[in-house]
Parts: sequence; C-alpha cells; structure tokens
Amino acid sequence: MNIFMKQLAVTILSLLAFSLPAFAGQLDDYYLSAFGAQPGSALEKAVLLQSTETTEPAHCGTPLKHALQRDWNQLEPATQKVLAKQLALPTLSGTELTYTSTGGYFKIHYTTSGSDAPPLTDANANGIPDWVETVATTMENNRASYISLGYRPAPTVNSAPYNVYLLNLAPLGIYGQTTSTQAVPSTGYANAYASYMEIDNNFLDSIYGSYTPLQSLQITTAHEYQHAIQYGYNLYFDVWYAEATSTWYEDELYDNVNQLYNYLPAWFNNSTLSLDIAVESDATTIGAGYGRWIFNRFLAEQHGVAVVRSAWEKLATLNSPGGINPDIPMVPVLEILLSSTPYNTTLGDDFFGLTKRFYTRDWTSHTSDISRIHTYVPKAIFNSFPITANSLSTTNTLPSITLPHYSYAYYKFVPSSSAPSDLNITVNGTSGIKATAFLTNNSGTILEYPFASVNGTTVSIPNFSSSTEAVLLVANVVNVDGHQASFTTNGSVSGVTEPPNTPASSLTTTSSTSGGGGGGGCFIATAAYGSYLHPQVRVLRDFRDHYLLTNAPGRAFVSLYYRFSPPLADFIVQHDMLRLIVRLLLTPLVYSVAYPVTGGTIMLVSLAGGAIILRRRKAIVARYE
Amino acid sequence: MTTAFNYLLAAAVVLMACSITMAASKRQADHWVYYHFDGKSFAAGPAVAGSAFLALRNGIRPVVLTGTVKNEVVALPKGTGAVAGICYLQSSGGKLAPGPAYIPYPRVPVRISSGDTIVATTESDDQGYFTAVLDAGRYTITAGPARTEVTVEKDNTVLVPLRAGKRMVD
Repeated sequence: MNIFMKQLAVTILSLLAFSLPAFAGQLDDYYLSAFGAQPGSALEKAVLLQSTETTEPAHCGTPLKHALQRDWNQLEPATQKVLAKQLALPTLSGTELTYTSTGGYFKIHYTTSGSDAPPLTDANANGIPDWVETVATTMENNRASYISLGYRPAPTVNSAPYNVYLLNLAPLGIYGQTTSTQAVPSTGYANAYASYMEIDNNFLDSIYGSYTPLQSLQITTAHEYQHAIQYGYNLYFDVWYAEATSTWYEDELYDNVNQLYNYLPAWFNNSTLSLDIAVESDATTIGAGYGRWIFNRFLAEQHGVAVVRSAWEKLATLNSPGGINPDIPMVPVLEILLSSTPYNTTLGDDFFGLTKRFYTRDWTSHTSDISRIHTYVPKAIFNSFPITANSLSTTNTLPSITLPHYSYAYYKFVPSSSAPSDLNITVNGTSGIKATAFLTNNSGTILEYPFASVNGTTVSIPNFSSSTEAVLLVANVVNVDGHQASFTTNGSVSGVTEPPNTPASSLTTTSSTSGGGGGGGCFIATAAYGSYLHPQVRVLRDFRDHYLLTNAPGRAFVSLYYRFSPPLADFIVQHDMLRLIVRLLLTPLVYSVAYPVTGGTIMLVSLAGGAIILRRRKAIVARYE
Repeated sequence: MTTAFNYLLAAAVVLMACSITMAASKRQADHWVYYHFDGKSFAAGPAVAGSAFLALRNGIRPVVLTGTVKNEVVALPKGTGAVAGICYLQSSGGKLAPGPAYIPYPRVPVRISSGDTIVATTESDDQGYFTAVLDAGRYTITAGPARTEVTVEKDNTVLVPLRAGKRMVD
C-alpha cells in the first residue's frame, strides 16, 4: 500500500508536470468576460480572435467601377460574379452625369434631378451647371496647391481622373468624406491606396453655418483632397494626424475662411488628453484630431511648412504593425522625424513649446488671426496662499496631477489678499515632466520663469501680488503615460511616483490580444517570468501553438487551463516566492521544449536511473521481509 | 504481481484524468452564444435591433442573424471547424455630428488559404458577414488590405474582423 501511495504521488506529480504546457494557453472565459460574455461559454470555444492584420499588396476585388471595367476580362467567372456585387460607388438620386475638369485630373459625378442635384444655374450656357464647374475648378486649384507644396497628387487607378461625387450630405451632417478603394503601390509608396470623394451638393443647408457655399466648398475639398493624398502615401495612417493635417491645410490653402479656429477650445478644455487621442464620436467635443491642427502650425513656424509633408513622407516608408488596429502610430514617427536632421530636436521639446505658446500667443504666422485662437484654459485656479500639498483650488482641485503622454495642464494663480509679494513655486515631477511659469504684469507683458528641473525645484516669481496673474504650466513631454507633477508655494515637496517606462505606442507594437493560439497570452508563465515577452514564455507559447493546439489532447489541456490559469496567475503574480517556485517547475519543461533531444535524453536517463534505484530498493526490502 | 497491478492502477488514473479533461473540453454546448461587432472587435451578445450578429454553437455551423429567431441547426461535418467574421469599412471623424465607427462592407471577396494554396473563397453578405467551414488547421484569411492568420479547430468557430477599407468623414 505504501508503494502504491508513492506511485500515486508520482503519478499526480507527473500529471502536473505534463500539464504545465497548458499553462501557456489563453482562457476563453477570461477573454469573453472582458467583453461581458455570459459565464460558462468558454468551452464552446467561440474563440475571439482579434485581427492580426498585416499589409498586403493589391489583390482585393474592389468595388470600383473603373477597376471592374479595366480588369473584367482577366477575371475568373466566379470572381466576376463577386465583383459584380461589390460595394457600389455612390448612387445619385437621378441619372448620373459626369464632367471632367479642364485640367483633366478630376471627374465630377452629379445629377440634375432629385435631392442630390446641385444648383443648376448655367450662366455660360455650356450645358454644365456652373456649380459643377466651380467644384471642378476648385479641385484643380487644390491639386495645384498641394503639388506646389511638394506633395504627390492623390493616386488613381491607371492615372484616371479622380472621382468626386456631389451628394446631399446635409441630412447626414457631413461636409464630405473620402473612402479608400484599392491598392496602387508604386516605388516608395508600397501601401498607397486610391480613393474617391463625396462632398455636399451645394453647402446651402443651415448646418454649414455662416460660411458661403464657396467657402465651405473650398475648405471641404482642401481637407478631403488632403485625405486622398494621405491614402496615396500610406493607407495605414494614424487618423488623428490625418485630421490634424487636413484641417491645418484648410487654412494654408484658404486663409480667409478660418473655420478651423472653432476646433481649438475643445482641446484647450481637455488639455489633459494626449496629443494623439483617438478620433472617435466625441472628436469635436474633446478636440481630438481636428483641434490638433495647431500642432502643425507650431511645427511649421519652428521648422518650415515642409516639416508636415516630411512627416507624411516618413510614414510612406513604413509598414503596418498589424494587430487589431493596423494603423501606424504617428507619435513615434514624429519622434523619429524631429530628432533627425535637419530638425535635430525632440517631439517633447516641440510639444512643450506649443503648449507654452498657447499662453504667450507669440505666433509668427497668420498673425492677423491670432485673436481667433482661444486663450489658454487653466486646469485649476488658486487664489488662497500659501498653497500646500493639501490645498484646494477654487474648483476643489489638488495641486498635483497625473498626465498621459504628450498632454499638459495650466494652473492659474490669482493675486489676492493672502498673496505673497514674490510667489515661490516648488515643483516636483517625474522624469517625463517639464514645467515653466509665466507672470503677466499689469501692463500685459508676459515674463517667463522656467524650471531647469522639476526635482523639488523652486522658482521665484517677483512682484506677484501686484501682477494680473501668474500661471504654472506642467506637461508630460514623453510618450509614456502616468507621469506626475505636484507643486506648492510654501517650499514643501510632495511625493510623486515614477510610472513604468512603457511607451504608449511604438512602431514595433503588434497585437497581443489574439486567442486560440498564434500569439495569445500565457498567463501563468507570464506571471512567473514577469513579462509576456520573456524568452521562456515565448518558448512555451511556441510550443503551445505548434505542438498542443495541433492535436486533440493538447487542445484539451489548453482548454482546461483556459479555465484555471487567470485566477492562478493573479495569485502567483502577487507572491514572489510562488513566482520563483513556478519558474523552477517550468524550467525543466522549458528546457525540454527548447532542447528536445537533450531534454529527452536526460528524461530517459533519469527514468532509467529511477527504475534501477526502485528495483534495488525493492530487492533490499524483499530480502529483509 | 502487486507492483504490476499498481502500475496498471496508476496508468488508469492518468487515462481517467485525461479522459475527463478531454470530455469536459468537448462538452456539447446546450445553448447558442451570440457575438456582435462593435467597430473594433467581436463582443458577446446580440447586436442592437436591426443589425446583424453571429450565433455560435459547438459543433454547429455559425449563423448570421438579425434577431434571436430560432436558429438553423446544421452540424459541422466531421473533423471540421468554421470561421465567421465581418468585412467592414472603418469610418472616422465627423465635424458636425458623430457617425458610425464602421460600415459593413458587403460583397467583398474573402480568400482563405493554407500556405500558398487557396482552399476556399467566399464573399461577405449584404451585412458584411461571412462564414466558411474548414478542416481543422492553420489558415490565412484576406479581404482587401486585411490579412489575418487563424487556427481552426474541430467543432469550433473562430471569429475574424477584417478591415477591408477606411473612410475619413469631414
């Protein structure tokens, strides 16, 4: 019986050891619950495989009528059947007519009946509505402007005219939109895509505001054609920078419209959101994308207008990172661009310079429009002194903040009866924080008092009590979230905690959220080794993908551990000793997986040795019995 | 004799543990599970009224639905699994009003290949969805600029979102 118990123990330990590979799997229940799935659904294994898209050259059947006409005879019947039912290009409310611009670069699609009909006045009696000719001329002007700025025009299939559709978009609340169609790669532009454009048919609806139809047409086509150009540089552009660039060019091409200034207050009121905050449904509420156009103005003033084009040229050389969002993050692209010749600066320095200029307002271009730029918006106002770590602003805000990457906050100090003559501001910040202070005196002159460092550093601002106001600017000037800053005016230093040095985005990032193999997380091994990217974890992950998920018993083990590994991992990660033990347990497995011949030999030798020892022991026991 | 018996007993314990594990993982689901596309990935639960979504069940062909009507139960052929997904146009922006984050991309050819061999072609339906039954194995699925690697397991359905295009609004 004693021997049986020992063998049972060996069996259980063996089971545990052999089941360790399954720890590398991903848990369906865990993953589904992240999406609000009902419990118990894991074993149905409806594996949520997040896309791991990567770039692919042109071979998609696209809905383009021109492509269809061009390629029709080369296609298989089955493909023809598919292409015939492709997503249709815009359908107009009446018979579709076309007009090719005088330069031959644009084909305007319009109708003369129904809700999509543009104004039909034909003063020159040439059979083409004047508005259609105006659209065509404006498009030609935009194209010429962009070419003069060094851009290559928006690519089209076989260099056909670019298609512009006039539709009644007012009911949708849309000025215009530009949609990618099919790949048109060329040397230096591997990810170039063609596109087509839809714009409102007349811009007469009240939703377009007080701008004249021509003004709305100008800025809309300047904006949309810039998007068309962007598709031609790289389909995988980052949307926030695409909108920032298109909006900026509205004013570069048509300086007298000035609609873009309307998008600034939303950013200033949400300054603690990152420069590259996603353009989603609340974009104009928080200033995402559109409001970031002024970043390009700052770059242009610092480095020349060509810097923006250079950013797009840099992007054109890059490939998609794949993953659930296959777009290329623009912040790392800008970081690389600005740190290289001829700019030789950093994105952090430029971002900090931009945020300072929001207060100083010493813009050097479009100077007649500076008054249109919204004034800075303080995060909090303090009017009671001294300010300690626990002081509250007029809106009950503490003098400390945690900032996401490339974001900022202004704090305003108002002279009051408790104000000191000289204001001594002490700032303590983590490594990604930069700070400066400004004083606006009674004559309106702005004086800057920079912080050389933010390590509990104090800067004295003289004559504060007799000034209009003083402000403190703190900015996170790196691509890492969670940098902290705190300040006081009594000389005390508040603690801050350095965040993990994990970039918010990088050019090598790929999705790690897939399931069912092919890159999923290994919860327990990750917990034990501390990182999903640890080489040992990668060994186990590869083993899972290539040897466990390819057979039924392996998948069964993976499935089993899908159920149990996350809570275990959560427990393990909190106990250093346990992490060590798990690492020790995993070591022979990892070694065997990484070096199967050596590992197998050692295992055989061990088993043989064990068997010999066991037999000798039994022989000895038998002799004494 | 006793030793041999104990070894047999240990082997039986191992076999039983493996059998229980495998049986548990292969347990036939007794209900459908629904997934809808939220603009970035698939999330559990049916979509809002009128929009299509997917119904999955172990060992059964995935079904595209527009309501929780009684699903058609068609067993997956022996040894096969399935892929189900959506082709969509990512829509971004909107100066005047927020728009949908994505637009279903109908009638997009979807190519499924294993290595250099195309093993199946299909197309997205009017709601952008597609399904395909495949032998268990590793596949590459492409639709326009989207390309995804998947592992199809017997009796299981893999969900795949494919961004087949991009639209900039305003």
